[in-house]
Amino acid sequence: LRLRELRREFEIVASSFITNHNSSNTKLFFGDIEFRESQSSFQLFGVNSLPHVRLVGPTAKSLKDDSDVMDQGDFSRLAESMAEFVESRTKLTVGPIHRPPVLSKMQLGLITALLLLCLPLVAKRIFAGETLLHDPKIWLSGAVFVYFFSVSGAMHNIIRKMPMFLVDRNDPNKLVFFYQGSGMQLGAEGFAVGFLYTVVGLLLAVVTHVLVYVKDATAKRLAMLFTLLVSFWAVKKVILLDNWKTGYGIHGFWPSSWN
Amino acid sequence: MATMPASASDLLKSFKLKTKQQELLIRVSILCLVYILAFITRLFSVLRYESMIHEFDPYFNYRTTLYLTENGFYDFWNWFDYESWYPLGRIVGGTLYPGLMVTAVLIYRILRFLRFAVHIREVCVLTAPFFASNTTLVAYFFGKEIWDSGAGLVAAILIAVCPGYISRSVAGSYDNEGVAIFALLFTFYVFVKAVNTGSLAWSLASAFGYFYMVSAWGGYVFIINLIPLYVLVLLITGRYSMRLYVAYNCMYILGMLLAMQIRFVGFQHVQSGEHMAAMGVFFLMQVFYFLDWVKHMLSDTKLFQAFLRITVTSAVAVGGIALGLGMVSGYISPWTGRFYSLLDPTYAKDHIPIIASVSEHQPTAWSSFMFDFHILLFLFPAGLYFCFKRLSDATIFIVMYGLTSMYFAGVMVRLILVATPAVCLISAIAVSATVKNLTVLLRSKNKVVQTGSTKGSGGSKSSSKALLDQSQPFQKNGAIALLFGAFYLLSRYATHCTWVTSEAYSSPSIVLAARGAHGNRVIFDDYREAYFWLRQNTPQDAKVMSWWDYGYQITAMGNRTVIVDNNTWNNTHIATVGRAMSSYEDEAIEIIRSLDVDYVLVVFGGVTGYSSDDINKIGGGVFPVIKEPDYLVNGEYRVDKGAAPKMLNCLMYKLCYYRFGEMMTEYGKPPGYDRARGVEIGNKDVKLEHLEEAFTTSNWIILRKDNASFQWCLSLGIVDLALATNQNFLETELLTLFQAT
Repeated sequence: LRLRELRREFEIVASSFITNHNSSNTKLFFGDIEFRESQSSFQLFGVNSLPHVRLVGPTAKSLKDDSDVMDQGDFSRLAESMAEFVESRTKLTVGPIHRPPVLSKMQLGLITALLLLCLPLVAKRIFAGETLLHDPKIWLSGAVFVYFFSVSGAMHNIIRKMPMFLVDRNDPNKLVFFYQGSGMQLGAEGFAVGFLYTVVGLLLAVVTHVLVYVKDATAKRLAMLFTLLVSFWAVKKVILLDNWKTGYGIHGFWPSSWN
Repeated sequence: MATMPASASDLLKSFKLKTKQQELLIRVSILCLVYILAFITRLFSVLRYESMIHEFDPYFNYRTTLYLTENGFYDFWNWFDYESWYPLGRIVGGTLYPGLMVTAVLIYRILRFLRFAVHIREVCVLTAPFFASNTTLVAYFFGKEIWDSGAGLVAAILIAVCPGYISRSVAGSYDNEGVAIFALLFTFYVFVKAVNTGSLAWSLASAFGYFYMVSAWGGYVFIINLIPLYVLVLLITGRYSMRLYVAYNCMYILGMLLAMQIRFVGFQHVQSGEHMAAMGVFFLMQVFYFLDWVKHMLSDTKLFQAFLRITVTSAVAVGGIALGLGMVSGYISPWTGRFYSLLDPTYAKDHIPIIASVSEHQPTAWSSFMFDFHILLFLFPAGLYFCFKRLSDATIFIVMYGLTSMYFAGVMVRLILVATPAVCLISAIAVSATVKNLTVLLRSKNKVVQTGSTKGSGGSKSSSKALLDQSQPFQKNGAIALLFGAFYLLSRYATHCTWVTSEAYSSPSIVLAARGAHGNRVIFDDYREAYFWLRQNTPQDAKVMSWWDYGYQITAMGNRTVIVDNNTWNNTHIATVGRAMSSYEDEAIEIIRSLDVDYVLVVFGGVTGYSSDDINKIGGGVFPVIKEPDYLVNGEYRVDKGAAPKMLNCLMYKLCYYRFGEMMTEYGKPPGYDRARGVEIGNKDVKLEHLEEAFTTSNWIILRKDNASFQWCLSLGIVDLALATNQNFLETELLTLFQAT
């Protein structure tokens, strides 16, 4: 329900209203009720679902019926939508919303000072060639990570806030990990596919780099066969998964006179 | 007599080529074949339908190209178009990228000079495939620069058929990207060449390549940020050299000066936050050069170290302060929404719905990657690994290009196009190195292979194995098997690419095709029918209102003034149209009259299920009167009996479903069954008071007429697109109708 976020946004609306009107306007008050402390107030307002935002007008006789409830559909849990609601019902403007910056001025100043202080040290290390950045393996693992992140569709999951898995609509006990249909994916699905891709590349690195140092010939052969089989299986799995997901039947085009 | 055979065999011998010449012949013939292949694989839609321009944006480009051919460059550069965005007009000369149009007109002039009597439309249609073929050549040279000529050849082949590139460069897709990818790859190639050789001539060429890229596409911001990032990485990893200095300085200064010639770009190179990285790196380079010179002058290392530390610290501090001052004073503008949403991908969804609503700007699921790249995705990490094994200035560049473009491709589907050349090149390195190792093994005669020295990989349906180092017969057989596997893999890639090109990316989206009941192909040419009706049956100064998707097509083919078009530069104007479409007829007619509109165009038909709340978001964002919840029932759009009353009576609904209630659309279903949404419509008795039906295309027979206020209404009908297999089209059409509704 993310009630905490909603409360924070509500606070921002309230404080923006106060700062914008310079504490001179006493026409609008902001308040919130907590269930454990004031159950009877909940009853008074007739609240039966959360989240619940309500505006009580000056002429309201009954708290339950005469006040305006903010519709669920209007909710985007942002301060702007609450401000709009206020403005449309009361004709009072909230004014621009003041959001506190991510880092306060003090913190920013402190961070800049720290950066400037350690700059000469860092520069010295860079020129000496000793930093962590100089090891190609670090860059390689970073590169593989960026590849994994992009190709598994992790950005899609972050932007759309897709869940890791869904509960099957027909059978509530089953979990659905893979989404059938192109263009959308679930969290676990992305990681699984990304893992399959990366395992193929990693096996290559292991085989060409680590395996050559092993002395035993049979061990080498076994390892190589294992690599072959695993890679084969991984690629086959990805292609099968892709065909199932998108439903495309990819085929070659033969000349029609051959049919 | 004895001399005859000798001279014959001598003759034959003179024809027999030396190995180097054989190699050259093979290479040239492969390149020629690849050039032709890249061209013809993009011609599916020209063969199936006819040679015409696709989609929406290319129509604007086509119209400006026409204007350029008729009126010359100076008129084009200073053109103010009063026929779009009525009554505001649009400054065309200052708001477009002229590269594409100028290129097409240049080709047209050359062909005309050689007495080929072509029409400018044919040149426009075939510009993109022509430049795609040129891109394969550049990819060959680039691959040769990074690795060797074998990798170059494979890169050329891979990029010729890669679906990620084909999607935006089919014949008929007359859009900036067709030319821009060529310019991008060319600039990168020439820059890497300049860094490798340190020659001033190549640096100059890279500056001109950059200028061409700036004139062609707004995505040049990628170049002007990637190259400084690359230079920074080289500096950090200790690869500073005079070559790098010459290459970057020349390219940056000259490129910047040239780029400012494009009015649309203007002074952004010194004013916009997106370009500041390049400037920062430029100054950093000067610092490095200065330090190098001081080191050369001083003989005392300790003193030099101290001096080094002081200088670098002060330089970075000064730079930081200058940047801060610039941003605070407002001289340096912050990152614009379009590019900021790449750094913070959740930004667009919350703050700029019009950017978030475009189907191309959606984040990418893994199946889209698979669709566009297929096996290149598996070869990519293998290629990365090979590049890291042989680190040089050039391979560092391609790795960086690949990774940054892959990241951005993950954020936005459209940017898979920019990632395609990098992925093709890196995969080409993997393939080429593998095949080379395997074939070397095959051709070696009884040589003892040292343990652990071979580094081979590749294989049937997989890409990672090492070779056995004992028992040579197994080795040879193993190599042959692996080679066959590699070729099988590549042939599957080619099959996939051809299928994708044919089925998914070759639809003109202005002409639709579907399969009839007996499997025969049915063509719907409604759009063009409607536009030509407009052109021929309406007064010259008529104004047409429609949703912004069709603006370009109406001005180009219908030759009439429109209210809003695809440029979407004025959100308020678009919101006005949206408000008109979604209000009740009485309110709508006020808006329509105030805009001086004579015709309203709607597109009817489409598939449901798409997140379609954009029109109300855009309309409601500016005019709070439009509230999205008024049109929804339980959070979804419905058009049947259970629909919201506002939906059932809004202008768009009435226009679309006028007299639709009497139609039998499907056997066995009640009249008024909307085949696209699968429901019977709610309000069958639609009466229009102020608007009148003017024309309906042949696939819906709905006529509306209203003499009372001389307002004409026009509607197109497109039947059941569930049958159409074109994925892109479905998405566009979905977007279209729901924004209209």
